Formats: sequence, C-alpha cells, structure tokens
Amino acid sequence: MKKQDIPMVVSGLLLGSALLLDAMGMTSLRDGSLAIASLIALLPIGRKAVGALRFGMASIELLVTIAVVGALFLGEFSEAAIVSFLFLFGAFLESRTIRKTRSAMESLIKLAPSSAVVLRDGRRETVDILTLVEGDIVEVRTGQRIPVDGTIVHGSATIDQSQITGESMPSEKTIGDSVYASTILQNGYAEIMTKRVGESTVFGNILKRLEEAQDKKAQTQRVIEKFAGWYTPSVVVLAIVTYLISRDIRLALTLLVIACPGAMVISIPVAIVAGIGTMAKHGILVKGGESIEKLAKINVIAFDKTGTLTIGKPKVSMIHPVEGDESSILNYASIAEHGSSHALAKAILAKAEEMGIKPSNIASNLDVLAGYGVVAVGDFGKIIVGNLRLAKQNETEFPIEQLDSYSTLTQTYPTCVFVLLNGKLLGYLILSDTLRDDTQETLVSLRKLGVQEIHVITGDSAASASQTLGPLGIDRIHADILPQEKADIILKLKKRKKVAMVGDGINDTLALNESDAGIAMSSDASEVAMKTADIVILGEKVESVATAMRIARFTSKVLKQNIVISIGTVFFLIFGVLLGKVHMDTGMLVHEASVLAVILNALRILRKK
Amino acid sequence: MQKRVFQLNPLSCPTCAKKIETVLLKVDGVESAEVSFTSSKVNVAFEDTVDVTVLIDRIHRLGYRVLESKKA
Repeated sequence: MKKQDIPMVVSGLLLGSALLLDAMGMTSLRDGSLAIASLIALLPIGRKAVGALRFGMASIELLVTIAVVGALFLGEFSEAAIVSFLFLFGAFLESRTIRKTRSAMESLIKLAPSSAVVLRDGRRETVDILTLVEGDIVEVRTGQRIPVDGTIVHGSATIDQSQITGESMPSEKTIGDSVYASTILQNGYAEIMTKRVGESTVFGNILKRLEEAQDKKAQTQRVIEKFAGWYTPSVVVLAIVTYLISRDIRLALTLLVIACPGAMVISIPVAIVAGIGTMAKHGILVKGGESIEKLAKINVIAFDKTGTLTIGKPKVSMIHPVEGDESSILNYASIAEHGSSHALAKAILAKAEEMGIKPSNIASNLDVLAGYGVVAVGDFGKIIVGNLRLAKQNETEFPIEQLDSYSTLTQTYPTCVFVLLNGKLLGYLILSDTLRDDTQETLVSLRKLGVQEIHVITGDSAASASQTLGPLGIDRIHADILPQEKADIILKLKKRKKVAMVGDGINDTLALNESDAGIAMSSDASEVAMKTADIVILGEKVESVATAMRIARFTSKVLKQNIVISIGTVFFLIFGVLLGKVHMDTGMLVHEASVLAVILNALRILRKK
Repeated sequence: MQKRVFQLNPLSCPTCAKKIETVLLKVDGVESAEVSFTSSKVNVAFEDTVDVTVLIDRIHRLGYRVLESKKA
C-alpha cells in the first residue's frame, strides 16, 4: 500500500465498521465513526483544495470539501462519509485504469534497452545507454536487443527487425550492414559501431512521434473541453441560485458534488490513447486523435499502385515458347543475363532458379544495349534477349506477317522480352509487377468496413495496370498518370467523398497531403513520410491499411459512446438532483461510475485486432 | 524561449490537468502550458527569464510531484 492511499483505506474501514455498528444498533458510535471517516478522507482532498486556493483557484476538491463539511454540519454523517470516500476511491481506480489505456504504448517504450555492453580499451563494460557516444563499439549476443543504431564491425547475426520495418522474416546481417536499436539479435554475435543513441535512433523517433500523437487534441476534444470548462462554474452558480430561491442548503451542496466534469474531460483522450497504442502494436503509427477521426470517416481509398498493392518489382508471369520448351528459353535467357543487375534480368534469373534451371554456359562476350536488351556471343551461338525493337533490328527468322500480332502483344504486355538463338525466335517472356499476397484480402476487408470505392492511381499504361490489377475488381484505374497529376485526382475525388490516399510516402507526398487521410507505407519510419502522412505503416503489409481502418472505426465508435455516456450522466445528475431524486451519496457514486465506465469502454480498443 | 517536459505522478482527476495549466500560465514569461493526463506529462514553453525551479515549485505547491524534468 502506498502512503498516499492510507486515508482512503482508513476511511473505507471506518465506513465498513459504521455499517456493523448500525446493525448492532449503536447509533452514536456509528455517527462518530462516520464523522471520523469523513474527516480522514477530507485530509488529502482539503490539502489539494487549499493548494489551488492559494493560487486563487476554485478546484473540484474545494467544492467537495464544502459539500462534505456542510453535510457534517447538517448531521448527514453517512452522506459525508460516503461522498468523501468515493471521491478518493474513484480517483484511485481511475489512475489505475487510465494507466491501462496506455499499456499498449508502454509495452513499446519498454522495448528500448536501457543499458549496453561497450568495448573500451579491450575491456567489456556495462553502461547506461545515455552515456554512449557516436563511435562506441557495443557488443550484442544471442537473444539481446540491439541498444543503438549503427553498423556491424565484427561478427554476423540473424536479426528480427519487425519492430522497425514491420518485416516479419528475420534478416541476416554481417559486417558493414546497418542495424537498429530495439531490434532483436536472434542468433549470432555482433559488435556494432554506434551511430545514433536514444531519442535520435529510428526507434526513438517512433516513440517520440507516438508521445506527440497522444498530446495532439482532436477537434471533438476541444469542443468537449470547452463545454467542460463552462460546466463547473455553471453548476456552482446553479447551486447558489437554487439555495437563494429554495433555501434548501442540502440541495445546493448536492449540486456541488456533481460539478466535476470528470467523465467528459477524459472520455475522448482515453479512447484516443488506446487507439494510438493499439495501432502502434500493429506497426501502424498515427499522427494523433484527429487523424484517427479522419480515417474513420473515409469512404473512398486511392492506392498508388507500385509498392502498395503490388510488390513494385517485376516478375516473369508467362513464358511463351515458339520453338523449344520453357526451360530451354529460360536457359538461353539466363546465359545472356547472368550477372546482370538490371531489374528485368534479375526477374528472369529468379524465375530460372525457381524452376531449377542452371545456365548451361556463361556468356563472356556480352553487349548490353541500354533500352533494348543484351546480345551474347559464345560457343552456344548468338543469343539475343531484348524487346521488340531489338528483335526487329537483328536479322531473324521473325515471321514478317506475324510482326503485327507481336506489336499488339507488346501493347497488352508492355514488358515483353524476346529470346532469340542464332537468329531464331525461341519464344518470349512476359514480365509484370505482381500483387502482394495480402492485397486481395485487404480489399475485401476494406469493402466490408464500408469503403465504397477503391481507386488505383498509376504511372503505368492502362494495359499493363489492368493486366496486374484485373482480378481485384478495382472500381477505377487511373492510368498514365504523372506524379504531379496524382494530387489533382485526389482533389477531384474529395469533392464528393472522404478520400484516403495510400502511397509510399516519397513520390506521392503531394497527393498524401491533399487527401483527407494520407497513409504512407514505408519500410522505415522516414522523416518525410511521417511529416506528410496521417498514418505511417511500417513494413510492406498492405493488410495494415485495413487494420488501421478497423481500429480507427472502432476507436471513433467508442469515442462517440463515451461522449454520450459522459454528457448523458451530467444531464441525468443535474435533473435527478433538481427533482430531488438523487442525493449526495448516489450523486457521487453515479459520477465516479461514469468516469470508470468511459475508461473501461476505452480499454475495449486494446483488444481490437 | 525554452521548452520543458515535466513527468508527474499518475494524475487521476482530469481537472488537475486544468489546474496545473492555469497555475503555470499565471507565471510571467510562460508562453504555453499543456498537460496530458493520460501520460501525466506537462509541456511548458517559457522565456529564458523564467526559472524552471519556480515552475516545479508551483506544481509542487498544488500537491503534485514532478518526477522528472527534461528539455524538449
């Protein structure tokens, strides 16, 4: 038990013993016990009342003190004891439960290690994280969290970076690779050269944003706070007027007891804190309460195609043999492309590897023609891997009469690679950007959440976009869009609907800015993305867009319920008291219960997935 | 102009936030004071002429403890 809780416990015990004394019929002892219970509970309340009074402020504690003292003078011992005890007990429960609404966020904060093992002059030393400076070498072993942002200078390890990048697969890191504070070294050993410490690390930055997010007040919150600011003085005036008219001191004192706007003031922030924390747990960073409210209202979502719905890297999606079979085409293609780092070459080599094809030879005499393809000459003959222009330029046995149909083909499939051996067309490969595994599912969830239209904005040609996105049932694909035109589309959509834009946060900052709710999918919490977007999704999970939406909707629902609970309670209490139905003790009980109700309601958000 | 963040003991009654804000704003040179009672933090911005200990003392005299004072 904490020292500050002693008055509450003692007055509670006295209140309990008063019940016993009452049952035994010892009324004077009962009243004495109740009076002492009231006075003990008044000690901390009165001290706060005096503290505020010294600065010329009338506080809620002052009102409660007046009411309790008044009740004692009127001989209403049980009411005095119950009111003062409930006031302390309510505060006690509130501080406990309010802390719980922050639990999701607290558990994140705890992830940051507070100490590190540093190697100085060949010796190991465990030090406080804040004493580290740039250039210090820290040692991290299996199972430990990395304490700093830096570069591995010795050793190698498997690192779980999900905390920073949202990537659930651990990655292998070795000398020269960057690592981030709060990520877990699952296996291995690493000595890390410190680059950034504490708040300036990527993780520190994330935490800072989260802290800022909960301090940002939502629009509704300002309105409610204004109302609450008027409420207390109005009730006090009402109490005085009531007394002057009715000369009923008891009624006036009861009004003072219910003058605390508690539930109103906390109804919104507790929901928002729980919402922000729950999102953070899913790798979703939100700018503040206002952003949650905006996201909850969205009914149109526009995706920037590359990197959101799709992986953003081409893949071989079809192989069309003209002569020979699929594996011989891939074999010759990979002989020519071997070692190239071009995105298309990489995709072809990846496909060959996937099919278990090892190139039968390696081209040494290569001619790379940028914008066309490659020509390789060797024992195997002459291989040409490239687009239609390159194929046409070389003397081939390209059936002239079929040229037209090949041109049509390349219109439908913009990335079409022809493979020729000694002037003979072996076949062609079609490459396209591929959808993420969770794209389809996400769009279904979004529609279930009430999103009416899903748009895609892309710089690709209509043919290429509809080829990749075809099966998704997108409402409208805006193709051939230049980056600067993206914002215009958003502006147009905004005229009729509430629009969210999902982008990578780098090439589409303008569009994100113009949208009602900007969502950036970013593999790291980059400063730029955090500045323009309302919501930043760490990692490559498009699914998180639906998760963010779901949590935002639920948070906003809880928020509205909380407003109804708190305002409803206030009106119920005022009319109840004025009509003589609610007395001092029940008034305090209902008031404290409403405060707890809005907190417990907000805690439901933490369980949302 | 300086900015500080005070970490307080967990606040319970939300009206304490308002009280603390009012008291701090009454100090000459304090530009802004905002209390977030979910995190029990006070964000104050003030002129360099203001002594931080005065601010902490005021909060203390209201009946709240400042556990930590950080530059923001």
